[in-house]
Amino acid sequence: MKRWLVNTILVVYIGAFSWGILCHGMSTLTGTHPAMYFFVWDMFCGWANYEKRNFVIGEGVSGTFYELDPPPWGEMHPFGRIGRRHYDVSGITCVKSAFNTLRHTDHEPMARIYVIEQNWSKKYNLPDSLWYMYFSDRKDPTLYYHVQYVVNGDGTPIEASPGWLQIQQQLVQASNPRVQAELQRSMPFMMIEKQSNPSAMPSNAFLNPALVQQPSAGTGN
Amino acid sequence: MSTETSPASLGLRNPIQATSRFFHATEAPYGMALIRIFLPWTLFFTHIGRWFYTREIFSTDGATTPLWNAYGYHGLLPEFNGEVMVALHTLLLFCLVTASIGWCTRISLVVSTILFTYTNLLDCIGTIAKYSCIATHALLILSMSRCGDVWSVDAWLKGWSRRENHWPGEARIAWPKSEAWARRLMQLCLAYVYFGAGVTKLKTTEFFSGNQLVSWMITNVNFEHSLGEFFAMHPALLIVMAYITVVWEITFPFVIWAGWGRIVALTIGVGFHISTYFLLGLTTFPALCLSMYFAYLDENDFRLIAHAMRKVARKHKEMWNRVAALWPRLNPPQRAWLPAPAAMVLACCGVAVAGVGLEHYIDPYGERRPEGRHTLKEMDPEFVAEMMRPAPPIKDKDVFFSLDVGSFLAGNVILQQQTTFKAGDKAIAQVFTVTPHVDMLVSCDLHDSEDRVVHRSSTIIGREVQRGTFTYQLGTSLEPGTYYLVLKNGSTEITRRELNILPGPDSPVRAPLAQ
Repeated sequence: MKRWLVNTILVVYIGAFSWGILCHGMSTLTGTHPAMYFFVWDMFCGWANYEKRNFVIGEGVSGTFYELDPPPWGEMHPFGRIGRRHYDVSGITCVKSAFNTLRHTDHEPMARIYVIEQNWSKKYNLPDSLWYMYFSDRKDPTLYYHVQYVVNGDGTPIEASPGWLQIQQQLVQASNPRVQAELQRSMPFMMIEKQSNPSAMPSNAFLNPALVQQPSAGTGN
Repeated sequence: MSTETSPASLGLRNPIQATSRFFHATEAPYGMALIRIFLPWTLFFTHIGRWFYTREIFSTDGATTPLWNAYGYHGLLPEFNGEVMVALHTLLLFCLVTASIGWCTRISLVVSTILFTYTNLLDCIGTIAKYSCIATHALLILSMSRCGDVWSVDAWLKGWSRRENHWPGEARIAWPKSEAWARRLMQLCLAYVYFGAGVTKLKTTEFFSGNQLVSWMITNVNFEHSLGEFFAMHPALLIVMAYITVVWEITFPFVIWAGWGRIVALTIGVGFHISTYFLLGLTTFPALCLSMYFAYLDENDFRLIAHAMRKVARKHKEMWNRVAALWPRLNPPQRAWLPAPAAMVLACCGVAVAGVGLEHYIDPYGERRPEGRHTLKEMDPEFVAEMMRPAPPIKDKDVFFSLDVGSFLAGNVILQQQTTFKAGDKAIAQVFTVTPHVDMLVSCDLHDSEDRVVHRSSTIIGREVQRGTFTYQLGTSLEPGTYYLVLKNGSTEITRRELNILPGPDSPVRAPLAQ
C-alpha cells in the first residue's frame, strides 16, 4: 500500500481512538453518533444491586393472559443462560418482540400488552452452599414486580414508567422532608418531549407527589 | 528476549524517523497470521447460535433493535427481509471460516468486517457489545494487513508449501515480509481499549470500595462463575484486584513496548482475561482479546518460540516423526480450473443459497408445520395478578446484604470472616447495605446466650453509604460461651450472627458451678 495512504489511515485511526478516550474522559459528546459506540470503552458501567428479568404478557379480548416473550418457537440465549429479552434494560424493545410473536402465531385479538419487570436482591443469586455459610436466615427472596409499559392491541402506547429501581431511587431522594414540602408546593408538571420516532414511548414519567408519601425504600420491614 | 523497542527508545533525537521505523519496519506477519487464524473462530462460534434466529433478530420479518435508533439516527442503514438477512448471515459465517484458513484472505476479511458490523448493529439487545466493537476493529485492521501471506491457503497456493518452509527463523526460509503498521495498529487498538476501560473505572467511585464488584460477581446474566460468587464474599480480595486491574489498564499503553514491562503487562493481561471467565462467566471477550495478544509478539519472538519448539522436537524425535508423518503433504495444484477469487464468489453464492434453503427447511417460526402455526401459551391468571399488583416497598432484608464479623479491616472491609474470639480480643462487625436505601439508624448489639443485651452499638447509615462498622472490645469480664450479634434497623431485627467467645489468657479463673 502507498506510504501516504498508510500514514493517513494511521492518523485517522489513532485520532479516532484518541477522540473517543477524550470524549469519554470528559463525559461529553459520547452519544452524538452510533460510531461513538465503537470508540468509547465504558465496559464497567456499574451493576445494579438487584437482578432484573422482563416478562411480556398479552391480554386477549376474552381476558385470558398469554406469554408473548419467550415466543412459542423458543428464544435466543445471547450471552449466558437467560433469554434475550432480559438484556433489554429499558424494556421498550420487548414490545416490538411481542408484536413479532403475534404476527407469527394464531391467537385471539389482543386488548393489552404488558411489559412487567421482576426484581430481586442479588444476594439470593448465591448458591445454597455459600448462602448457609454466611447467612443464618432462610433463603427466601422477595420478588418486586413493576408494570413498565402498557400498550394497546393495535400498538398505541397507554402507559410508560421508569424502571422499578429508578423509581426506588427517586423515592429515596424524595424522602427528604424539605424536598417533600417543595414537591407539595410545586405545581406538578408533565414532560412533553418531541419524539423523532413516533412509535417510541416517552421515557420520562410524571412523579406523583402522593407517591412520595408512601414508605420509601428500605422501610418495608 | 525481544529486541522490540518503543518509538521513544528508537531515538528521541529524531522522533519522526523513530515513529516511521516503528510503523514501517518490515517483518514476516506471523502475529497477524495467528490472529487471523484464531479470532474468526471466536466470532464464528458467537454467531453460529444466532444464525437460527437470524430472521427474528436481524430482519424486518422479526424484531430488530438497531443501535442507530438508540442514538436517534432512525433509518441510518437499510434493513432487509428474512431471506436476504439469512443469506448475508450465512455468508458472514462462511467468510469467517475462509478468513481463518486464509483462502482469498483479503476478500474474506473485508466481507466479514462489513457483515459482522452490520449484523451487530441490528441487534443492540442481544448481539452488539463492547467485545464485538473490539472484534470489528480487529477485523478491519486484519483486512488491511498482509496476514494472509503466511500460514494460509493463499500462501500454499502461491507455493509457500510446507516443504520449503519449516520454522520461523530458519536460514533457508524467506517468508514474505510486509510493513509492521497493521500489527502496530492492532497493538494500539487493544492499548486504547484498556486505557479507556481504566478511565471508566476511575470515574466509577464505587469501584474501589469493592461494593460494585460484589454485585458484578453475583450477577447471573453471563455463564456460570462459581469463583466469582466465592470472591463476592471476600470483598478485600476484590479491592486488591480492582487496584491491580486499574493500574494495569492505565499503564498498559506505556509499558507494553519493551523489556520487563511488556512481559509483566502481557502476563497480567493473560491472567486477567482468563479470570474473567471464572469470575464473571465471560467467554467471547477473553477468547477474543487473548487471540489479539499475538500482535504483541514480533518476528524475533516467533524465532525464539520456534527455536524452543525445534529443541523439543529434536528431543522427542521419534514421536515428532510419527506426528509429522500423519500430517498431510499436499502440493499446491499445478493448474486451477478457476482463479481463486472467482471460485470464492461462486462458493459464496452457493453457501448463501444453501443457507436460505436450510433456514426455509428449519422454518424458525413454525408457520409451515403440519399442525399449523404456533399458538400462544396461556398464563396462570393468579401469577399475572401478582405481577400486576403494586410492588411493596423494599424489605429490610434486601437492603441489608450481609453482616460480616472479623477482627481485621483492610480497605475498609473485613479481611477474613471469624466467629470465634478469645476474651480480650477485638471483634469487628460490618453491615453491608445495598442502594437505594433511606437514611437509617442501625444498631448491632451483643446479646448473650439468653438473649440479654451485653453491649449496645449503633450508627447512622446515610443513603449514600453502603457499609457501617461496629467495633467491640470483648472484655475479660465476659463469660466464655455463645453470644449473638443482633442487627437491627430502628427496632426491627434484621439478622443475627453467632459468636463463640473462649477464655482469654487474662480471664479470671472461675470455680465450676455446683451440680
